[in-house]
Amino acid sequence: MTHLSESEFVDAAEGALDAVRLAHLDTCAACRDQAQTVRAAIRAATSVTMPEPSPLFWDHLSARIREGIAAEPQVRRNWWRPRFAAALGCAAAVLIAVGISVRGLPRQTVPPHLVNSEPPVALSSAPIVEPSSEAPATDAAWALLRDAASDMQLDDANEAGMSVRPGAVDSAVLDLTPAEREALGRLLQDAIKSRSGSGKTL
Amino acid sequence: MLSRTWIAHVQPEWKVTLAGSTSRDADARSFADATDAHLVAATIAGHREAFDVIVERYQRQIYGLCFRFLRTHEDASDLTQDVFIRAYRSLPRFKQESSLGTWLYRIGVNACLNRLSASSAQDRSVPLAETHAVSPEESPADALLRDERAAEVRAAIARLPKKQRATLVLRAYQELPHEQIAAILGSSVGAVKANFFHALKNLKKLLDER
Repeated sequence: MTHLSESEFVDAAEGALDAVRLAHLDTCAACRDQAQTVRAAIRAATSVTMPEPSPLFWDHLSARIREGIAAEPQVRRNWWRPRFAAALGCAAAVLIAVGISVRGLPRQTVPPHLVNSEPPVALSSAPIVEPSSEAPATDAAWALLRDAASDMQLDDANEAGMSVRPGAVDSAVLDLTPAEREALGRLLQDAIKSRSGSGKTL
Repeated sequence: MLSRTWIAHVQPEWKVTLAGSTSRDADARSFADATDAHLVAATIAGHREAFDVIVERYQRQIYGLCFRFLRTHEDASDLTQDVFIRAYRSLPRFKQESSLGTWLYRIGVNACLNRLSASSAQDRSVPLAETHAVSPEESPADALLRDERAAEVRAAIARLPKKQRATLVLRAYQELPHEQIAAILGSSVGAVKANFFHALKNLKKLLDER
Protein backbone atom coordinates (compact mmCIF):
# COMPACT_ATOMS: atom_id res chain seq x y z
CA MET A 1 0.00 0.00 0.00
CA THR A 2 1.30 3.47 -0.87
CA HIS A 3 2.29 5.98 1.79
CA LEU A 4 -0.18 8.65 2.82
CA SER A 5 -0.20 11.82 0.76
CA GLU A 6 0.14 15.31 2.28
CA SER A 7 -3.62 15.76 2.10
CA GLU A 8 -4.19 12.40 3.73
CA PHE A 9 -1.93 13.29 6.65
CA VAL A 10 -4.09 16.36 7.22
CA ASP A 11 -7.25 14.27 6.93
CA ALA A 12 -5.80 11.73 9.37
CA ALA A 13 -5.00 14.45 11.92
CA GLU A 14 -8.48 15.89 11.55
CA GLY A 15 -10.18 12.51 11.76
CA ALA A 16 -11.40 12.63 8.19
CA LEU A 17 -9.34 9.85 6.65
CA ASP A 18 -11.20 6.76 5.47
CA ALA A 19 -10.69 3.51 7.34
CA VAL A 20 -8.75 1.76 4.59
CA ARG A 21 -6.08 4.45 4.40
CA LEU A 22 -6.08 4.85 8.15
CA ALA A 23 -5.20 1.17 8.48
CA HIS A 24 -1.98 1.91 6.64
CA LEU A 25 -0.74 3.80 9.69
CA ASP A 26 -0.79 0.57 11.69
CA THR A 27 1.68 -1.05 9.36
CA CYS A 28 3.89 1.85 8.23
CA ALA A 29 6.22 3.38 10.83
CA ALA A 30 7.31 6.22 8.55
CA CYS A 31 3.74 7.37 7.96
CA ARG A 32 2.93 6.90 11.64
CA ASP A 33 5.82 9.21 12.61
CA GLN A 34 4.74 11.79 10.09
CA ALA A 35 1.15 11.67 11.32
CA GLN A 36 2.36 12.18 14.90
CA THR A 37 4.40 15.20 13.81
CA VAL A 38 1.34 16.75 12.19
CA ARG A 39 -0.82 16.10 15.23
CA ALA A 40 1.82 17.54 17.59
CA ALA A 41 2.10 20.68 15.48
CA ILE A 42 -1.67 21.16 15.51
CA ARG A 43 -1.67 20.77 19.30
CA ALA A 44 1.13 23.34 19.65
CA ALA A 45 -0.58 25.83 17.35
CA THR A 46 -3.99 25.55 18.94
CA SER A 47 -2.55 25.83 22.46
CA VAL A 48 -2.00 29.53 21.80
CA THR A 49 -5.34 31.13 22.41
CA MET A 50 -6.28 34.67 21.52
CA PRO A 51 -7.01 36.88 24.52
CA GLU A 52 -10.69 37.77 24.39
CA PRO A 53 -11.10 41.55 24.31
CA SER A 54 -13.40 43.20 26.82
CA PRO A 55 -17.08 43.21 25.89
CA LEU A 56 -16.95 46.96 25.33
CA PHE A 57 -14.18 46.54 22.81
CA TRP A 58 -16.52 45.38 20.05
CA ASP A 59 -18.75 48.42 20.45
CA HIS A 60 -15.73 50.67 20.28
CA LEU A 61 -14.36 48.87 17.24
CA SER A 62 -17.63 49.03 15.32
CA ALA A 63 -18.01 52.72 16.24
CA ARG A 64 -14.50 53.36 14.99
CA ILE A 65 -15.18 51.53 11.73
CA ARG A 66 -18.42 53.46 11.36
CA GLU A 67 -16.52 56.72 11.69
CA GLY A 68 -14.10 55.60 9.04
CA ILE A 69 -16.93 54.66 6.70
CA ALA A 70 -18.67 57.99 7.34
CA ALA A 71 -15.61 59.76 5.97
CA GLU A 72 -15.90 57.78 2.74
CA PRO A 73 -17.96 58.95 -0.22
CA GLN A 74 -21.18 57.02 -0.80
CA VAL A 75 -20.51 53.93 -2.88
CA ARG A 76 -22.51 53.53 -6.06
CA ARG A 77 -23.06 50.74 -8.52
CA ASN A 78 -21.32 51.56 -11.79
CA TRP A 79 -23.81 52.91 -14.31
CA TRP A 80 -23.05 50.24 -16.83
CA ARG A 81 -24.34 46.79 -16.48
CA PRO A 82 -22.37 43.86 -17.92
CA ARG A 83 -24.72 43.45 -20.89
CA PHE A 84 -24.55 47.13 -21.67
CA ALA A 85 -20.80 47.14 -21.23
CA ALA A 86 -20.50 44.25 -23.70
CA ALA A 87 -22.55 46.18 -26.26
CA LEU A 88 -20.44 49.24 -25.60
CA GLY A 89 -17.33 47.15 -26.14
CA CYS A 90 -18.55 45.99 -29.54
CA ALA A 91 -19.47 49.53 -30.54
CA ALA A 92 -16.11 50.83 -29.40
CA ALA A 93 -14.27 48.15 -31.37
CA VAL A 94 -16.20 49.04 -34.53
CA LEU A 95 -15.58 52.74 -34.03
CA ILE A 96 -11.86 52.22 -33.52
CA ALA A 97 -11.65 49.98 -36.58
CA VAL A 98 -13.52 52.48 -38.73
CA GLY A 99 -11.50 55.39 -37.43
CA ILE A 100 -8.30 53.61 -38.39
CA SER A 101 -9.64 52.56 -41.76
CA VAL A 102 -10.80 56.05 -42.64
CA ARG A 103 -7.38 57.41 -41.83
CA GLY A 104 -5.77 54.65 -43.86
CA LEU A 105 -7.74 55.41 -47.05
CA PRO A 106 -5.84 57.02 -49.93
CA ARG A 107 -6.60 60.73 -49.91
CA GLN A 108 -7.16 63.03 -52.79
CA THR A 109 -6.02 66.56 -52.51
CA VAL A 110 -8.51 69.25 -53.25
CA PRO A 111 -7.18 72.72 -53.98
CA PRO A 112 -8.33 75.09 -51.23
CA HIS A 113 -9.98 77.43 -53.64
CA LEU A 114 -12.34 74.69 -54.76
CA VAL A 115 -13.65 73.91 -51.32
CA ASN A 116 -17.13 75.30 -50.66
CA SER A 117 -17.12 76.95 -54.05
CA GLU A 118 -19.33 76.56 -57.04
CA PRO A 119 -19.64 73.07 -58.55
CA PRO A 120 -16.42 72.09 -60.28
CA VAL A 121 -16.18 72.37 -63.97
CA ALA A 122 -14.37 69.30 -65.26
CA LEU A 123 -11.04 70.11 -63.68
CA SER A 124 -10.29 66.47 -63.34
CA SER A 125 -11.88 63.16 -64.10
CA ALA A 126 -11.28 62.03 -60.51
CA PRO A 127 -14.17 62.53 -58.10
CA ILE A 128 -13.81 65.36 -55.65
CA VAL A 129 -13.84 64.34 -52.01
CA GLU A 130 -16.50 66.01 -49.94
CA PRO A 131 -14.72 68.27 -47.48
CA SER A 132 -16.83 67.00 -44.59
CA SER A 133 -16.37 63.33 -45.32
CA GLU A 134 -13.62 62.55 -42.82
CA ALA A 135 -13.16 65.05 -40.05
CA PRO A 136 -16.70 65.10 -38.64
CA ALA A 137 -16.92 61.32 -38.72
CA THR A 138 -13.68 60.74 -36.84
CA ASP A 139 -14.34 63.62 -34.45
CA ALA A 140 -17.79 62.30 -33.63
CA ALA A 141 -16.45 58.80 -33.29
CA TRP A 142 -13.71 59.95 -31.00
CA ALA A 143 -16.09 62.04 -28.91
CA LEU A 144 -18.42 59.07 -28.60
CA LEU A 145 -15.58 56.84 -27.46
CA ARG A 146 -14.20 59.44 -25.12
CA ASP A 147 -17.59 60.00 -23.48
CA ALA A 148 -18.24 56.31 -23.14
CA ALA A 149 -14.85 55.56 -21.67
CA SER A 150 -14.51 58.64 -19.49
CA ASP A 151 -15.25 56.84 -16.25
CA MET A 152 -14.52 53.33 -17.36
CA GLN A 153 -12.25 51.31 -15.10
CA LEU A 154 -9.70 48.88 -16.42
CA ASP A 155 -11.22 45.90 -14.61
CA ASP A 156 -14.67 46.65 -15.98
CA ALA A 157 -13.33 47.07 -19.50
CA ASN A 158 -11.57 43.72 -19.29
CA GLU A 159 -14.68 42.06 -17.90
CA ALA A 160 -16.69 43.49 -20.77
CA GLY A 161 -14.33 41.84 -23.21
CA MET A 162 -13.02 45.16 -24.45
CA SER A 163 -9.39 44.21 -24.24
CA VAL A 164 -7.78 43.09 -27.49
CA ARG A 165 -4.32 42.03 -28.41
CA PRO A 166 -2.06 44.94 -29.31
CA GLY A 167 -2.40 45.65 -33.00
CA ALA A 168 -5.36 43.30 -33.44
CA VAL A 169 -7.67 46.04 -34.71
CA ASP A 170 -5.01 47.43 -37.05
CA SER A 171 -4.34 44.07 -38.61
CA ALA A 172 -8.08 43.38 -38.96
CA VAL A 173 -8.60 46.65 -40.79
CA LEU A 174 -5.56 46.12 -43.00
CA ASP A 175 -7.09 42.84 -44.13
CA LEU A 176 -10.08 44.70 -45.59
CA THR A 177 -10.16 45.58 -49.26
CA PRO A 178 -10.37 49.29 -50.13
CA ALA A 179 -14.02 48.81 -51.06
CA GLU A 180 -14.75 47.13 -47.75
CA ARG A 181 -13.06 49.93 -45.84
CA GLU A 182 -15.07 52.48 -47.73
CA ALA A 183 -18.28 50.59 -46.98
CA LEU A 184 -17.36 50.37 -43.32
CA GLY A 185 -16.71 54.09 -43.26
CA ARG A 186 -20.11 54.78 -44.78
CA LEU A 187 -21.80 52.54 -42.22
CA LEU A 188 -20.13 54.42 -39.41
CA GLN A 189 -21.14 57.79 -40.76
CA ASP A 190 -24.73 56.65 -41.21
CA ALA A 191 -24.80 55.27 -37.66
CA ILE A 192 -23.43 58.47 -36.19
CA LYS A 193 -25.78 60.66 -38.20
CA SER A 194 -28.80 58.62 -37.23
CA ARG A 195 -27.78 58.76 -33.55
CA SER A 196 -27.19 62.48 -33.72
CA GLY A 197 -30.55 62.94 -35.44
CA SER A 198 -32.54 60.91 -32.94
CA GLY A 199 -30.73 62.37 -29.95
CA LYS A 200 -29.86 58.91 -28.67
CA THR A 201 -26.88 58.35 -26.52
CA LEU A 202 -25.03 55.26 -25.59
CA MET B 1 -28.52 64.24 25.53
CA LEU B 2 -26.68 61.14 24.53
CA SER B 3 -27.40 60.23 20.97
CA ARG B 4 -26.62 56.57 21.03
CA THR B 5 -27.58 53.51 22.97
CA TRP B 6 -24.74 52.01 24.89
CA ILE B 7 -25.20 48.72 26.60
CA ALA B 8 -22.24 47.86 28.71
CA HIS B 9 -21.78 44.62 30.55
CA VAL B 10 -19.39 45.99 33.13
CA GLN B 11 -19.99 43.00 35.31
CA PRO B 12 -22.07 39.97 34.39
CA GLU B 13 -24.91 41.05 36.63
CA TRP B 14 -24.76 44.73 35.64
CA LYS B 15 -26.45 46.15 32.63
CA VAL B 16 -25.86 49.84 32.05
CA THR B 17 -28.11 51.40 29.46
CA LEU B 18 -27.83 55.00 28.44
CA ALA B 19 -31.04 55.91 26.70
CA GLY B 20 -31.29 57.76 23.45
CA SER B 21 -30.81 56.53 19.92
CA THR B 22 -30.38 57.85 16.45
CA SER B 23 -32.51 57.05 13.47
CA ARG B 24 -29.44 55.35 12.04
CA ASP B 25 -29.44 52.91 14.94
CA ALA B 26 -33.09 52.22 14.28
CA ASP B 27 -32.35 51.69 10.59
CA ALA B 28 -29.50 49.38 11.46
CA ARG B 29 -31.84 47.35 13.66
CA SER B 30 -34.27 47.09 10.77
CA PHE B 31 -31.49 45.43 8.76
CA ALA B 32 -30.47 43.13 11.58
CA ASP B 33 -32.16 40.06 10.10
CA ALA B 34 -31.39 40.82 6.48
CA THR B 35 -29.32 38.40 4.44
CA ASP B 36 -25.81 39.36 3.45
CA ALA B 37 -26.95 39.84 -0.14
CA HIS B 38 -29.64 42.28 0.96
CA LEU B 39 -27.18 44.17 3.12
CA VAL B 40 -24.80 44.52 0.20
CA ALA B 41 -27.58 45.74 -2.08
CA ALA B 42 -28.89 48.15 0.56
CA THR B 43 -25.41 49.58 1.18
CA ILE B 44 -24.91 50.21 -2.52
CA ALA B 45 -28.37 51.77 -2.68
CA GLY B 46 -27.19 54.34 -0.15
CA HIS B 47 -28.09 52.80 3.22
CA ARG B 48 -24.84 53.05 5.13
CA GLU B 49 -26.53 51.60 8.19
CA ALA B 50 -26.79 48.30 6.30
CA PHE B 51 -23.02 48.24 6.23
CA ASP B 52 -23.03 48.74 10.01
CA VAL B 53 -24.78 45.38 10.25
CA ILE B 54 -22.14 43.80 8.02
CA VAL B 55 -19.50 45.18 10.37
CA GLU B 56 -21.33 43.84 13.42
CA ARG B 57 -21.65 40.47 11.75
CA TYR B 58 -18.02 40.00 10.70
CA GLN B 59 -15.82 42.21 12.85
CA ARG B 60 -14.93 39.43 15.27
CA GLN B 61 -13.71 37.13 12.52
CA ILE B 62 -11.72 39.83 10.79
CA TYR B 63 -10.24 41.12 14.04
CA GLY B 64 -9.29 37.56 15.00
CA LEU B 65 -7.60 37.07 11.65
CA CYS B 66 -5.71 40.36 11.95
CA PHE B 67 -4.67 39.60 15.51
CA ARG B 68 -3.27 36.22 14.55
CA PHE B 69 -1.15 37.83 11.87
CA LEU B 70 -0.10 41.04 13.60
CA ARG B 71 -0.12 39.87 17.22
CA THR B 72 -0.94 43.18 18.85
CA HIS B 73 -4.31 44.60 19.76
CA GLU B 74 -3.53 48.03 18.31
CA ASP B 75 -2.32 46.74 14.96
CA ALA B 76 -5.21 44.29 14.69
CA SER B 77 -7.76 47.04 15.46
CA ASP B 78 -6.19 49.40 12.91
CA LEU B 79 -6.13 46.77 10.22
CA THR B 80 -9.68 45.60 10.96
CA GLN B 81 -10.90 49.14 10.35
CA ASP B 82 -8.82 49.29 7.19
CA VAL B 83 -10.25 45.99 5.93
CA PHE B 84 -13.84 47.17 6.35
CA ILE B 85 -13.13 50.50 4.67
CA ARG B 86 -11.55 48.67 1.73
CA ALA B 87 -14.56 46.37 1.60
CA TYR B 88 -16.93 49.34 1.63
CA ARG B 89 -15.11 50.96 -1.27
CA SER B 90 -15.04 47.72 -3.25
CA LEU B 91 -18.60 46.67 -2.50
CA PRO B 92 -20.00 47.66 -5.94
CA ARG B 93 -17.49 45.28 -7.51
CA PHE B 94 -18.42 42.37 -5.20
CA LYS B 95 -20.09 39.92 -7.58
CA GLN B 96 -21.36 37.57 -4.86
CA GLU B 97 -19.68 34.63 -6.53
CA SER B 98 -18.45 33.72 -3.07
CA SER B 99 -20.04 34.41 0.28
CA LEU B 100 -19.60 37.85 1.82
CA GLY B 101 -17.59 36.26 4.64
CA THR B 102 -15.20 34.61 2.20
CA TRP B 103 -14.79 37.88 0.33
CA LEU B 104 -14.08 39.79 3.54
CA TYR B 105 -11.58 37.15 4.63
CA ARG B 106 -9.89 37.47 1.25
CA ILE B 107 -9.54 41.22 1.71
CA GLY B 108 -8.35 40.60 5.27
CA VAL B 109 -5.70 38.03 4.34
CA ASN B 110 -4.36 40.29 1.58
CA ALA B 111 -4.29 43.26 3.94
CA CYS B 112 -2.47 41.24 6.61
CA LEU B 113 0.11 39.90 4.18
CA ASN B 114 0.66 43.36 2.71
CA ARG B 115 1.06 44.83 6.17
CA LEU B 116 3.60 42.17 7.07
CA SER B 117 5.51 42.87 3.90
CA ALA B 118 5.50 46.59 4.58
CA SER B 119 6.64 46.33 8.16
CA SER B 120 8.53 43.99 10.37
CA ALA B 121 5.50 43.38 12.52
CA GLN B 122 6.17 39.67 12.57
CA ASP B 123 9.30 40.29 14.62
CA ARG B 124 7.52 42.34 17.21
CA SER B 125 7.32 40.86 20.65
CA VAL B 126 4.03 40.73 22.46
CA PRO B 127 3.77 41.91 26.05
CA LEU B 128 3.15 38.90 28.21
CA ALA B 129 0.27 40.56 30.00
CA GLU B 130 -1.56 40.72 26.71
CA THR B 131 -1.25 37.08 25.91
CA HIS B 132 -3.13 35.24 28.62
CA ALA B 133 -5.06 35.90 31.72
CA VAL B 134 -3.86 33.83 34.63
CA SER B 135 -6.54 31.41 35.69
CA PRO B 136 -7.15 30.96 39.42
CA GLU B 137 -6.05 27.34 39.42
CA GLU B 138 -2.78 28.09 37.64
CA SER B 139 0.35 29.08 39.53
CA PRO B 140 2.26 32.17 38.38
CA ALA B 141 5.18 29.95 37.43
CA ASP B 142 2.97 27.76 35.27
CA ALA B 143 1.42 30.81 33.66
CA LEU B 144 4.86 32.20 32.88
CA LEU B 145 5.95 28.90 31.38
CA ARG B 146 2.83 28.73 29.27
CA ASP B 147 3.28 32.30 28.06
CA GLU B 148 6.87 31.57 27.10
CA ARG B 149 5.76 28.54 25.17
CA ALA B 150 3.01 30.54 23.47
CA ALA B 151 5.55 33.21 22.50
CA GLU B 152 7.74 30.51 20.96
CA VAL B 153 4.84 29.14 18.95
CA ARG B 154 3.85 32.61 17.72
CA ALA B 155 7.43 33.37 16.76
CA ALA B 156 7.67 30.09 14.87
CA ILE B 157 4.40 30.76 13.03
CA ALA B 158 5.70 34.21 12.09
CA ARG B 159 8.65 32.56 10.37
CA LEU B 160 6.51 30.40 8.11
CA PRO B 161 6.18 31.30 4.43
CA LYS B 162 3.23 33.62 3.86
CA LYS B 163 0.88 31.18 2.22
CA GLN B 164 1.57 28.47 4.80
CA ARG B 165 1.03 31.01 7.55
CA ALA B 166 -2.24 32.18 6.05
CA THR B 167 -3.45 28.61 5.67
CA LEU B 168 -2.48 27.75 9.25
CA VAL B 169 -4.24 30.82 10.66
CA LEU B 170 -7.41 30.23 8.64
CA ARG B 171 -7.55 26.53 9.50
CA ALA B 172 -6.19 26.23 13.04
CA TYR B 173 -7.46 29.51 14.49
CA GLN B 174 -10.37 30.64 12.34
CA GLU B 175 -11.42 27.00 11.94
CA LEU B 176 -12.63 27.52 8.40
CA PRO B 177 -13.33 24.51 6.19
CA HIS B 178 -10.69 23.69 3.60
CA GLU B 179 -13.11 24.59 0.81
CA GLN B 180 -13.57 28.12 2.12
CA ILE B 181 -9.84 28.56 2.65
CA ALA B 182 -9.33 27.50 -0.95
CA ALA B 183 -11.83 30.15 -2.07
CA ILE B 184 -10.14 32.81 0.07
CA LEU B 185 -6.65 32.02 -1.13
CA GLY B 186 -7.66 31.31 -4.71
CA SER B 187 -6.35 27.76 -4.76
CA SER B 188 -7.64 24.21 -4.73
CA VAL B 189 -8.62 22.18 -1.69
CA GLY B 190 -5.72 19.84 -2.38
CA ALA B 191 -3.29 22.75 -2.43
CA VAL B 192 -4.74 24.08 0.83
CA LYS B 193 -4.27 20.73 2.53
CA ALA B 194 -0.74 20.44 1.17
CA ASN B 195 0.05 23.95 2.42
CA PHE B 196 -1.41 23.12 5.80
CA PHE B 197 0.66 19.96 5.97
CA HIS B 198 3.89 21.83 5.17
CA ALA B 199 2.98 24.62 7.59
CA LEU B 200 2.56 22.09 10.39
CA LYS B 201 5.70 20.20 9.49
CA ASN B 202 7.74 23.42 9.39
CA LEU B 203 6.19 24.63 12.61
CA LYS B 204 7.19 21.43 14.40
CA LYS B 205 10.69 21.69 12.99
CA LEU B 206 11.07 25.32 14.12
CA LEU B 207 9.79 24.48 17.60
CA ASP B 208 12.15 21.54 17.91
CA GLU B 209 15.10 23.77 16.98
CA ARG B 210 14.56 25.92 20.04
